[in-house]
Amino acid sequence: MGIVSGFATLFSGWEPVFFAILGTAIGLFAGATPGLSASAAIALLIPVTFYMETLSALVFIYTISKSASFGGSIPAILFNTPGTPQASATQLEGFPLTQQGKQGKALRMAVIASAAGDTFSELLLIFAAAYIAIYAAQMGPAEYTAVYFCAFLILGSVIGDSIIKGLLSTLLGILLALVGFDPITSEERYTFNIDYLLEGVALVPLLLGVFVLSEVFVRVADRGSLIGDQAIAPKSAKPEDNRVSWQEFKDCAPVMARSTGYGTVIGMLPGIGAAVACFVAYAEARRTSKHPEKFGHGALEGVAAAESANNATSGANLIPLLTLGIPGSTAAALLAGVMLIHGITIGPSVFVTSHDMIYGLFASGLFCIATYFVVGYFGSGVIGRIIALVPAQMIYPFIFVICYVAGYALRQALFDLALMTLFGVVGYLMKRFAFSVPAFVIAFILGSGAETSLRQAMMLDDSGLFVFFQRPIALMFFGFGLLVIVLRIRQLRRQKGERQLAASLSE
Amino acid sequence: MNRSARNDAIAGAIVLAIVAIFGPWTSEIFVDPRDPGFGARDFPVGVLITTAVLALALCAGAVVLLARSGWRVYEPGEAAPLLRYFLPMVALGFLYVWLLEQFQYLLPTFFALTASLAIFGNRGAVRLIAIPAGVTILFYVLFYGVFGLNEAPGEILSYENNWYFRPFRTFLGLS
Repeated sequence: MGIVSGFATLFSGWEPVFFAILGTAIGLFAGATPGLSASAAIALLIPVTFYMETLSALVFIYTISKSASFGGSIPAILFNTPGTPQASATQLEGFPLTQQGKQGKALRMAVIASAAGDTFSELLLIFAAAYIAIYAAQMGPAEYTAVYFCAFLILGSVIGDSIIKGLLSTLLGILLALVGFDPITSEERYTFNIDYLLEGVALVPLLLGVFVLSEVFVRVADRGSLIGDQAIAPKSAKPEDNRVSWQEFKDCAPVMARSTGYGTVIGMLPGIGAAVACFVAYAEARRTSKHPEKFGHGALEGVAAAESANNATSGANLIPLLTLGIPGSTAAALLAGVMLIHGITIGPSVFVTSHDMIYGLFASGLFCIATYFVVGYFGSGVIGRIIALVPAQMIYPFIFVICYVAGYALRQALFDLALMTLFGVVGYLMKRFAFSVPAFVIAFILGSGAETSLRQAMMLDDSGLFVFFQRPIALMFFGFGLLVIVLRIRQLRRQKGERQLAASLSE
Repeated sequence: MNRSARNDAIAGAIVLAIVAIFGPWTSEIFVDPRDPGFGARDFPVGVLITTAVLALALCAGAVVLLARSGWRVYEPGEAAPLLRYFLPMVALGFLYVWLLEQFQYLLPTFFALTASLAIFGNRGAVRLIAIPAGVTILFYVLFYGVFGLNEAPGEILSYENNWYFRPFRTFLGLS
């Protein structure tokens, strides 16, 4: 059993366990701090992982991403401000419960649902990923090209309200990945006669710029939106308002099971992520509820649906990363970055070349869930009160400076810092103009692999682009990508029609 | 005013500018005519053309909407937060990098922290002097002492931290 050896690897020394606990704690606080997303916290800490052994580095990053997903629900419930985008649906029902003095009940339901969804997703990852990897290992360059094409189409079309902007974000990421030596012939491309660019654009300055520095720029340009000092509504004195009863748990269990399913499936698709999963699950919970009238006024089912769905994406989005080398989310892309930095080849072969380490990582996932469950069940309110004490206008200047010190740690090159500042501006513009930063970053990571696969497929066969028509699996992936984009266009048209109808009715 | 269309037009124009920057450099990519399959230039050309087509589509759609809304593209005072807070913060970022090159870590970091706290609206000696000084030293010990990051010598002011951080790292049991 791989997972048993994974636990043995995790507990073989103090370091991996220590970093699992530290990662969980950092993730909870980072998730609970509005404006500091899990991606930003991870990007900020990636340079620190250079100084760790590989397993500790992976465990550290993975546990931050997992616990931050739950951490985001704390300010969503207590302050009506989601700590992370995936907690946006939780706030719809969680904050009304706080206004009724039932924040203890809401927070405990959030942590139960989060742990339930996350555990299922992690177990699926543990038991299914290796089997999928066996099939993935049999695929050739043509099939991989189709998988990349499919991933780019999904990335470009699903995030945000504009398919054109999504696709442009993806293409800009691919364009940036072309800078440096050509992967096949080693010809110089787009280096603009700058020696630092010969090896390509470094990943860490890019991540720090578009995820962290851009957030500082967004916040400074919008100073009025800083949350400042927050006051938590008084807690109810009744014990039943501060715990989840067995009956309430039983009522919410079917919703949690369904939402976990939605979250797991959505998590496996590249780029869509937890922010979409939580709204899909919330809308379904509302539609199928016996008491839909309670939604919007503090329905516990709504909290359970959103939280189990957004945490269920966490393990599932590692499945495409570890089996195909394609990150399912921003957090998975960042984990891929750490793997590349530590010399681990991403893809199905990872189960052979780094077997113990991968199962050690999975074991750390389960350990993290247990840790954040205990801390979250008994200490969410305390975390909320600590976050409320720190004024937001103090947090961002420190993040700004840490960004530069961390960016310098990679190659100790000031050029990287200038590049990071430039990417900070790029990230700011992308956010302002509603482009997709995750699609941009994931496409940057995948760009080189996509080009290599395409050119290898063309070299191995004389039939040119017709090589793809001779491969059924490749055709299936091309077809799936196109189907997703067609369905998305139809969905956007329908939404536009509904908006126009609502506007005409209101007039 | 149709702000969304205005933003789309600007975004499309920026993307076209990026294509215009990368475009001429594409012809500089060496291609060996004997290479089988796609050469080093083909994939970049494909990406650039697709990007340009989509950017033009974004611009065209936005221009049509702007024309319908009577070409109103700016509201008075809209740029004020950008000029007062965003641009100074970006300038501070580039200035900080330049100062690091000239004076190494300590002085530029204290300055950058104080300046960014001020831009974010913090006031008073505690927030603008005491806290930045403490945090600058804390980060210095953490990154350069504990993690052993090397400082490149400053071009104007150079100092060597090895003589005090080396015993410190040895004391902590770090190599």
